[in-house]
Parts: sequence; C-alpha cells; structure tokens
Amino acid sequence: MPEITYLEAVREALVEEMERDPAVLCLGEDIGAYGGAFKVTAGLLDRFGDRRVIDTPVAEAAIVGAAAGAAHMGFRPVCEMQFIDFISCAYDMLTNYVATSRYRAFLPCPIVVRGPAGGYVRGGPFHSQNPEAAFLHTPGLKIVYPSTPADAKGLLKAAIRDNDPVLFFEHKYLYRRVREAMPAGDHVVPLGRARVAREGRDLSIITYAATVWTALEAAERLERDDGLAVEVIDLRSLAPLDDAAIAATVRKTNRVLIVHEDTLTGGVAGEITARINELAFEWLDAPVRRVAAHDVPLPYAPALEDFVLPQVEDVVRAARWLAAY
Amino acid sequence: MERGELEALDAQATDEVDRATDEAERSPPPDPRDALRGVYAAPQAVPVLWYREIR
Repeated sequence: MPEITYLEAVREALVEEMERDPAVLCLGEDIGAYGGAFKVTAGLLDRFGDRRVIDTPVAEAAIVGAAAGAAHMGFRPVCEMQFIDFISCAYDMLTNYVATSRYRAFLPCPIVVRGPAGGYVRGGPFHSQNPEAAFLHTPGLKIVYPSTPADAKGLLKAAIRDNDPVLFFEHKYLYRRVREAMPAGDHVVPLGRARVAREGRDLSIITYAATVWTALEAAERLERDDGLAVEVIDLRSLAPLDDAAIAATVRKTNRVLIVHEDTLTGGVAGEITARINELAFEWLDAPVRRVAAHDVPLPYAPALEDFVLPQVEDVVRAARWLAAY
Repeated sequence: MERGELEALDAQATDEVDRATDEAERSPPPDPRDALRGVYAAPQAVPVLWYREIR
C-alpha cells in the first residue's frame, strides 16, 4: 500500500464513507469548486455532485444549523470549518442546539464538524487555535484530535458512523508533514480509545495531536541522553477520554507529564490531572505536571510563536524534573 | 471614480505596505517574552510557565 499524508487520509475517509452511505454529505465554505482551503475536499464535487458536496455562505452557525436539520431528516452531514478558529461562530448552535438535541427532544444529531486546527505554522491568532477545551465542558459532544494519518482516517470514519455529534480536529501542521500506508480494508478506529505511541517504564507523557510528535522526539532524546524509558500515550479522543488507558500508564510508570498545545489554564490537562487524582493517586511517585502553551493569544512572529508554544526542549526539561523528583 | 484614480490608490496602498514590510524585515526580531505582554491592562504580562524556568 502506498503511503499517504494525513490530509489525504482525511480525504480518503470522506470518499469511502460517501461511497458506502448515500446519507453522508459534505458542506462548508469553498469545499466544492475550490476543493477547500487546504484541498481536503478536492475532487469530491466532481465525484459526488453538488447535492452532496455543498458550497455554503460564510456563516458557520448556518452551516451547523443546516447540518443539524439534515441529520434530523436522516442524513449524516460532515461540516467543514475553513479554519477551526471559526467554530466559535457556531458555538451557540453547537452547545445550545446540537449537543442537547438528543437529551431535550429525542432528536439524534449525527453530524461531524471537522476542520484544520493548531499552530506551529506562523498563522497568528485567527488561524492557529486549539479550541477543544471550550467544547470539552459541553455534555453531548464528542471530540477527536488525531496525530497520525491512519488514525485520522479511521477516526473520521468512526465519527461519521457515530450516532452523536463529533467535533473532529485536524492538525494543519501535520497535514502534509506525516505520511504512512493505510491499513487494508475498512479501517475504522473506535472513538474513546487511546493508543500507546511508545512503550516506557520510567515516565508517562500523555498528549494528543501535534504534540504527540513533540513528545516522541523528546522521548528519543531522553532515552539517548538520560537512559530514561518514556511512555507516550496518544489520547486520540478527548471526549470520551480513555480513563482505563490513563490509569494503566500511571500504574506502570508512576510519573506523569501531560503535554498539549492549547493554553494551560482550563485546558484538557487539568481534567486529566483531576482524573488521575481520582483513579490512581496512590500510584503516583511525583506530582502530575503540565506542559502547555502560555496563556496568551498566539502571536504571528516566529520568535514569539516559538516562545508561546511547547517545544521539544520544554518537554525534555520537564521530564527530567519529574524523573528526578 | 476614474481608472487613473483607482490605479493611483492601488499604487499608494502597495507602496505603504512595501515600506512597512521592508522596515519590519530590517528590524531585529522581537524579544520572545514580548509575547506575554498586552493580554490584560493589569498585570501587564502573564507569567512565564514553570518548564521555561528549569535550569
């Protein structure tokens, strides 16, 4: 099987699901004739026609609202946010309507809202955000944020088949930087299950999305320079969180560093830390520590963006601190 | 508006942007810690996170 990029894996998932199920349709800004801002949906309009690949006005709340209505009528819409930063324009529709529709009115709302997220690309404050934590607090939404092409494909297919609304974050830094061969057949990765990206015994790094690669590079350096065997857990899904995988790695290594690209305060790491306290406190030999972005909007200038976001060296330093505790 | 006026406006805007980017490229890069300033009126800068202070 040829290797494909993370971006191509997302497209492959869309094509396969649209071929499998005629109820699946895509809608978003410039996704049809233009093929999407990053070309994720290139070719879909020619293949599936303009009744299933729908160019919309620049109105994110309307995109999500129209998708919700279509979902109530039996469709499985996949909405694209041109940049995930713009999902905030649909916050009301997602949190007040979509997330609550099953609970309020017995109305299933199986939609996927997907789009490019994250920084390290010199995109500045409106094109680099990681808004996952803003939605983690909303019951009724599922949240997925893959780090590898195979997971991007398999998790998107699972998200489209899921009977609940799923926010699917795609890291734009990874779009064309990572590639791998896809598993054969109908590759579906279940939501809510983390994976062990690297086995270790001395320390665990729990992370997701682009910082999985940051953590893996740090782990290699720590093994080479310090003789530390660092385990890296890729959460893949943030809602639901894989409590069993989190507890298992705590019991194995007894030291935990949580790394994410989103800002520190109110970030996903705080929730994971609380769960570790509740599930496996007695197994800890050191306090859980967090490496995350500084609590500022993401600046454009390369020197400033690099300072704000977690880097490999930061993870190495934090891991050494934990290992020595 | 006449075509000439539009072209003059375009040229003026292009010149202004070119001068601004030239000046930015001639300037030294900002101090990285400047990224932490200006979020709030007070405090003037948010704290540097713990992992940057480890030596």
